[in-house]
Amino acid sequence: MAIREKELGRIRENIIENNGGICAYHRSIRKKWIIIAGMAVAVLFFMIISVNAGSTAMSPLDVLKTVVGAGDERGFIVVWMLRMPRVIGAVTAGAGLAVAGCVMQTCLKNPLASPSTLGVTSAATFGANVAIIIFGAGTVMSSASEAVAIGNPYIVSVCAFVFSTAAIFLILSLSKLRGFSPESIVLAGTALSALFGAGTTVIQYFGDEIRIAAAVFWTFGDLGRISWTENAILGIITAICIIYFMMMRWNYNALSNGEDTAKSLGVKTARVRFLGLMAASLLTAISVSFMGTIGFIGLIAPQIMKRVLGSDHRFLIPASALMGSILLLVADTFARSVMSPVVLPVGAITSLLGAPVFFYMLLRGKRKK
Amino acid sequence: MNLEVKNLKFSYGHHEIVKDISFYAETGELVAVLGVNGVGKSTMIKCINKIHKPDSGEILIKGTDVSAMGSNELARNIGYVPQSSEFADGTVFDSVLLGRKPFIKWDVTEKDLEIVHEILHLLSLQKYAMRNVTELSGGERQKVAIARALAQQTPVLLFDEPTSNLDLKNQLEVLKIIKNIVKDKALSAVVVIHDLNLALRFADKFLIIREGRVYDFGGDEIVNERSISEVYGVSASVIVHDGCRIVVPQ
Repeated sequence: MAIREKELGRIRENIIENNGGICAYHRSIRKKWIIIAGMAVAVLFFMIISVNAGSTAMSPLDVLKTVVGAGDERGFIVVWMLRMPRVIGAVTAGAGLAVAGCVMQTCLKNPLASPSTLGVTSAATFGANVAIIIFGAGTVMSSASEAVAIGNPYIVSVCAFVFSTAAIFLILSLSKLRGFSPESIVLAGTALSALFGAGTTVIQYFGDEIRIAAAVFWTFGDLGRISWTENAILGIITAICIIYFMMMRWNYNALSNGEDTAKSLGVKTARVRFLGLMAASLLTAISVSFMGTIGFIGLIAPQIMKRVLGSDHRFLIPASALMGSILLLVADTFARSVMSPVVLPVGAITSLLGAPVFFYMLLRGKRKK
Repeated sequence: MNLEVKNLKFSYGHHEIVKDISFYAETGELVAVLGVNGVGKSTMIKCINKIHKPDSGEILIKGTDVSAMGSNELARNIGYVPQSSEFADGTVFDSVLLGRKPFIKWDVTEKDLEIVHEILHLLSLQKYAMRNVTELSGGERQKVAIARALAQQTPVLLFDEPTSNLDLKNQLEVLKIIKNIVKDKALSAVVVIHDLNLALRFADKFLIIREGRVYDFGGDEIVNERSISEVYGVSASVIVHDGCRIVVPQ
């Protein structure tokens, strides 16, 4: 017995001496955090570029002076009232939509899942149509830059949020009957999406053209609608959800390895899936309610980062958030610059840029190891 | 005694699958679960670690009823290797590290890393530590799945057909690993297996299930011409070669 203990001790010592695996593990972790830190710097870089971009000519120095409080009043209005809210909005909404997509893909075991999979976007669009066409929140206002605008954006946002939240509860209640299996959730989401899509068509069929125009205008995702108050709400909710998702990261890692394995590792799969989808859907609902539909960010950002960093949610969640911010910042800067002074809807740009990127990733296949 | 199962029952709706099953596994023992397809062997295994909630019955780990355990505590007591293990895109080291999940509070500790490292050595997987698990062969992946369950450091291990997709060499290697670990670390293992000769070679006890009930439970003497005929409906003779019983179907 004593000899055996001695032998085991020697083996253990050899293992500790020869801990190449642990060193390699630490190296790979360090590399991943360096990539994430680099992405955080890239977000700051694109924020500066984005604040500089716009129809009002301002030198980078003037922008910098204004940011630190040493600029003139015109600069203050342009930077702090017009550009900064949309830049901050792009960072928070991009991060929120990307992590929502990341968690949905894991919880639904579907790489094509995105914030729109559960029908949240369709429900929000239906809500906005109800507000604009039925409640009359879409009175047309003509201005130099916009032919059509929403008369009362708060009613529209509230309606969009109410309907998308109702959709979340309806989908999750329906799928509870089948133990929150990914298939049942996707089926319920697809059915509800079709239902709200049909509802939107019916409302628009009976609406007058001015209100229909306003409703269609709303569906173009636009960061210009977001104010500091909405930014604060979106920022707080996004931060809370990201912290929650990070707390759940080991559960999501286990879920990625199959239902039975996750359960045998102590994960209450139905509860983790329910709460994850709930948080992701709420995040999407708030974002869509404030800014309209911004597609592809939730689908592409986690997919890009999975190819770069793998499926470990310890890194995938923060990296997806940063990639979402970068993508939305770039898309918004492009939308404001390409046909300046005309500002294109950012939702159209993300879809326009997102589709070819997704095709490329699809054709390129799995990440290179 | 590491594991004791008493009067376990489980139904899918009105269809009773597991009908009053009782057996036990002593420390250092490997129990082979035998029976034809669809008699509830896998379901019974999933009831033991509460993947399926049993209708009734008692499951004791070292004398403690698992119904009183939370999900994390249960995962610290029972390790499970499913029939076909899924793996997320990641390294072998990360896949095995996931087995430490029931112990991880916020992040992994050096102790967790050392345990993973030691298990990789034990299963001769250290050279694949930083390889992507999806690049490995079926046999190597099965070893990674076993390593992940071992990282949980549980007194009881459940294996659902661990050799079903493996060639002969890997079947022997995987079962030898399980057998050695169970003996060396004083664990208990319950292994659902179809190959009677592999079972006879590696198992200490045998649980034969027929129509959801225990047909017989005991040593290798219960795997005989009569039981094979009654349970599998196959005529076979059992011969002894080099002190080991071998089933030869006729």
